[in-house]
Amino acid sequence: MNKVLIADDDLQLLTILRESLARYSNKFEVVTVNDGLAAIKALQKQAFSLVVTDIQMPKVNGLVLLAYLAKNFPKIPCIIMTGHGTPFLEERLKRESLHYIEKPFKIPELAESIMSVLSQSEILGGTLNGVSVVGFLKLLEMESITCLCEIHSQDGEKGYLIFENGVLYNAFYKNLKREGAARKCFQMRNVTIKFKKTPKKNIQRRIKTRLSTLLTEAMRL
Amino acid sequence: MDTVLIVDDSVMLINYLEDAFIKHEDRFSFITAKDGLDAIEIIRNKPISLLVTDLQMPKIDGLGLLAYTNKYYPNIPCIVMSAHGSPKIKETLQTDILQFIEKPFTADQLAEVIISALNMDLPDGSLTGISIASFLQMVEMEQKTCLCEVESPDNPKGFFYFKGGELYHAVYGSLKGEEAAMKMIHIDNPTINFRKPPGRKISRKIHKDLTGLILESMKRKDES
Repeated sequence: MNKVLIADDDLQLLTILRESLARYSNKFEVVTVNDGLAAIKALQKQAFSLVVTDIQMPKVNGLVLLAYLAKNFPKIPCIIMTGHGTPFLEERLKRESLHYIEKPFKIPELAESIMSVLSQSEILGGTLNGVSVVGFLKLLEMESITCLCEIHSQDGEKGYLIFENGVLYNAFYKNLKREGAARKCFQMRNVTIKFKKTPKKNIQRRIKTRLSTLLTEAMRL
Repeated sequence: MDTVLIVDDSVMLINYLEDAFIKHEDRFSFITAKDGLDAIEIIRNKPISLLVTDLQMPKIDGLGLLAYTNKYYPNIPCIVMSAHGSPKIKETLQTDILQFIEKPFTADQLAEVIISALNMDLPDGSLTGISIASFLQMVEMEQKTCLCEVESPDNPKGFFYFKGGELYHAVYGSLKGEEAAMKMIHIDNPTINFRKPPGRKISRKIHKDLTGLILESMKRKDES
């Protein structure tokens, strides 16, 4: 039986999902947790076929959870539930093989989405390796996250992106800074992403180009 | 047929209840509203047997809605769906009109509370509305910053000032601080209005916690 892990800090929503998805119990089983830390603990204990997660959660947020999944369970596909969707983002995430559902949604919509992702990953033999840098960055922007994002590639490259409320403030890559460093970061492949707290001191905004513009440019190169 | 008004800004909760309550359609019908303003519009135009409301909502929140119904429709019983627990002190007199269900709940649990509230046979004139103590405890639960104005016939106007859910100050006629608060807690059939807190800083005059204050005022009333 396919097991689906659902993470959201809204306990009422979890109750609704558990009750409403029970009618699909012949297709998949649902386990719910109310923050990212609990999700990570659950992933370490049981085998899941799919993770459905909110982004804004206490303790460990959805982005960190996604990064953890990409690193430790790259074959587990993921559906992101969010309240702030845009058509651009939806398309982008789809291309990044990140599945996405906008709150509020109807239960059958989520169930459909779960079943479709489960059947895809069966056909593809679990090759859905979810997350790329671009997918993450769009999420950071959309959820107005403040963080220091450390990107490592397998061949030892390292880059840093600083986000303040979802806006890209600065980037570092080798001896590059600002836009140039950001473009390099966006082109890195096979990466591991770590999220860190931004340093306390006041960080100046050095990048004035919009994130979507930079991403589009980087994609073209 | 009883009509129940359910007020919550969560579309997902409303959709869930709409599906789940089909099986109770021979016992009650229900209307939904997404905020307090919407709800007041409905209450003014339709007879409602029972109000079920969330506390945190845009436009007019649950406290504002309860204050309104308490003033103009004091006979409508209310169920509060609360994410932050329920008041510690429950007064026997008030339990009939104001009940709490804590989130998260299942549709079946809510249906049970609704049906039992509808089945309660309240003799006319026995209702005293929502007490000041209940309102104050809800302000505390929701950690609100507000000015709560209390009016009642033959009494001076009174005010409670809360900051982040903590009772900071109270004024009632010439009384101030704890004395004013304890006197006001006993006012029968009060009308409550929630006002925007004043812009200036109000220094804290009350240091006792609300539960202690309510208990002490009850004790004093029993003794007198």
